[in-house]
Amino acid sequence: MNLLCTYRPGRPTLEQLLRRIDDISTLPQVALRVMQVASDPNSSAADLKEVMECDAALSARVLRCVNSSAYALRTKITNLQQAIAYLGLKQIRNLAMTASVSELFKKEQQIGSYSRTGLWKHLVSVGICARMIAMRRKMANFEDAFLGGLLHDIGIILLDQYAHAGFREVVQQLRPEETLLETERRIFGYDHTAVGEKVAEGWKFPEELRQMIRWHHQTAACKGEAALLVACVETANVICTLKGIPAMGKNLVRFSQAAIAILQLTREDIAVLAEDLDRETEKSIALFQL
Amino acid sequence: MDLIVSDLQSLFAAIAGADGPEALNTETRLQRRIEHLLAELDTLKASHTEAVAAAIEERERRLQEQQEHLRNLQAVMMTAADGIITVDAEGRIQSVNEQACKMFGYQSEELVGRYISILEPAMRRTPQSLVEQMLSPGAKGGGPSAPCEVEGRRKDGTVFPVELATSRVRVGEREIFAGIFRDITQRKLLETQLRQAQKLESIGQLAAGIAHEINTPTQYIADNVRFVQEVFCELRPVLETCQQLLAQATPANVRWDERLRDTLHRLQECAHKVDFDYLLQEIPEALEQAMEGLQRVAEIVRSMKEISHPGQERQPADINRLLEASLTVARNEWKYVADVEKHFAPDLPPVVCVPGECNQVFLNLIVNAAHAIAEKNNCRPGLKGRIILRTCREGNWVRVEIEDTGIGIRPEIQSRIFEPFFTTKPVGKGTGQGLAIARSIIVEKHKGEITFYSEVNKGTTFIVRLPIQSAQGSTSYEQYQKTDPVCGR
Repeated sequence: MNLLCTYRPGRPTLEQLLRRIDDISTLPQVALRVMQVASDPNSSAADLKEVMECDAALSARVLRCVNSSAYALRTKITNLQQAIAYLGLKQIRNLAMTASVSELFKKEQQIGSYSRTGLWKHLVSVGICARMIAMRRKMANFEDAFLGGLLHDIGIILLDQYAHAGFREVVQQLRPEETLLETERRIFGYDHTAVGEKVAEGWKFPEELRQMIRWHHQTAACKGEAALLVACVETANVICTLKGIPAMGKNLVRFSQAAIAILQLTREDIAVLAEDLDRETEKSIALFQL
Repeated sequence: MDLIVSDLQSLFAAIAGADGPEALNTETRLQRRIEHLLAELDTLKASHTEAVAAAIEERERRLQEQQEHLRNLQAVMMTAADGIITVDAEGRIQSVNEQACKMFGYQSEELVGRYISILEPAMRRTPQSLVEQMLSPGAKGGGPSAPCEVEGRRKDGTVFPVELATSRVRVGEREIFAGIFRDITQRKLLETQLRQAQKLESIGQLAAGIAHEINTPTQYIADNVRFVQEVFCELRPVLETCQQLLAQATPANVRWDERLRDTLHRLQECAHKVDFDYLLQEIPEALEQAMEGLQRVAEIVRSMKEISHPGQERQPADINRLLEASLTVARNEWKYVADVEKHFAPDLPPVVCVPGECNQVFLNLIVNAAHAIAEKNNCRPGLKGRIILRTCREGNWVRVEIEDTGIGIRPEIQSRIFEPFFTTKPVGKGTGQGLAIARSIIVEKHKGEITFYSEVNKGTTFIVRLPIQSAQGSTSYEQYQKTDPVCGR
């Protein structure tokens, strides 16, 4: 109903923004193929290996991560086949996605309290924290929680890259009494969760991943099986922000009562999680590398 | 796992170090942490179990695929059209496929473990030996050797020609030899047939030449005999008068001249000596017989020329004359075993056909008839059967019947007599090709029919029907006559 479509430089409509993202291959093709193969229940290790072998740099990076102390494997892994056999499809998928997404953050950009490296650190930390929560809640799909955490703010980096002027304004106008989403909506008319979800849809990401991207500020709005995963990501997001690893600058965050209720977390649980996160991120230091 | 253990250790260390009001708070948290870590451990364990199960499943699936692949390979090998035999380096048979078993007449259990030499005849006639070929290194690089012809020996001792190609296969540390066997009995037979056919063809051409050579002298012998016959007829009154003279002349009535009397007397003596009366009577008969013989020679020569004529031209032909020619050429086969009866329709229309080929068919059928009669009368020479040839017109067809009073065809083989290589004659006598060729000439080339009925020990009748219209179907003989004969093909 936006009939008065006034010209707003640096503030594209959602459709315009999506078209821009679509025009430029944002994520490498191999990353999208990895996602497809890993979410297809009929895929085998051989399929994933075949896809990943197309990108030697990616494979090398994944192998470096696999051999890092985080996995504490007794034998040195020298090829993808072995890596997949040891760690499974999902972990390798996560490593491949981490490696691919990191490409978006390579070129440093600093706007006030926002920096791309900061956002990257936030994404990996939320991924690790979400997985930790999922594991401690005995969720079998804890690796999916990591991926959700890693990609939950994909919308922010896309806004940064494809609507830079508007994004710059958002960063400058951040206020402690307003949430990030509110600021974004004020300037763009939509927020990064909407951007992320639409893009994820275009990239044919699996349903629960899209849900995690869409609702990671609002678990209560998510209905269905993905709600637990969404709760992990939202909680992890808050924990990381409070621990001083925010997406950008200081802004208003609150614990989501809905998420905490679904996960049946107590104050002590959260305190323990926050304390243990440091050790976890330290173990996975290789993931943060850009 | 190690990490979790170290976590726990640090926890216990923290518990030990804490005290005071802080201790309570710390204790609850530590309690929580222990719960958390145990939960994490559980999740990891579950996920590992799952991963292991998935890995096992994957491995089993791959194993099944491999087994399936192996089964397919085995099935292909077992059912291959050629015999496949593998032997180890010492020449012991490792595996044989169905075709190889069938070829050599063994069960596979009888062959596996035995030496390959049991498949070779003790005395071989080929330069290459099956065993040597099988165990020879073959081409360098393990490629298959060029196939060569060797002899194989079946379980029942019969020897047969085989084409054998071997390859050396390296399986791990061991070397095995794989041989592909092809029974080439049929091919050899065909080669023999072809050679025979070529021989016959050259003999045919020779015969045509010889026939021509014989024709010329026969011609002038016949001319001369005819001349002698004619002049003898003219001479006859002279001689007869002379005979009368001799009869009438007695010493009494030739008193008047001494010299004449002497001459007459000498003449009487001469005539008596040569049996003058007899000569007068026999010479014409002898000449008559000579002429008959010459006619026979001329006829044989003409038939040979007709039959061996290599022309493959389609042309209108008189079926009666073709039958006559075939009878003449085959005379040697039937003259001692059968009398021939001919019931030829005098008004038979010409049939457009390849005369040489039709002749071949009739010749075959006549020779077969003669053989059938000879076989029936085997033990009683002098007993003669009958071969009856009939021709008649049936609408747009000409029907030829060749009937014999021979041994007949047993019902159980009646369906097979037109098969190539099927023969009841002993080895070397029949090729099993005659009726197959006859069928192909009549049915395929001339669009006609060939049938028979037969009763054991009574005889057989072959019926050949040929369309009067040309084999092309569109050109009737009448149309054919109107058009240029060359275009009629």
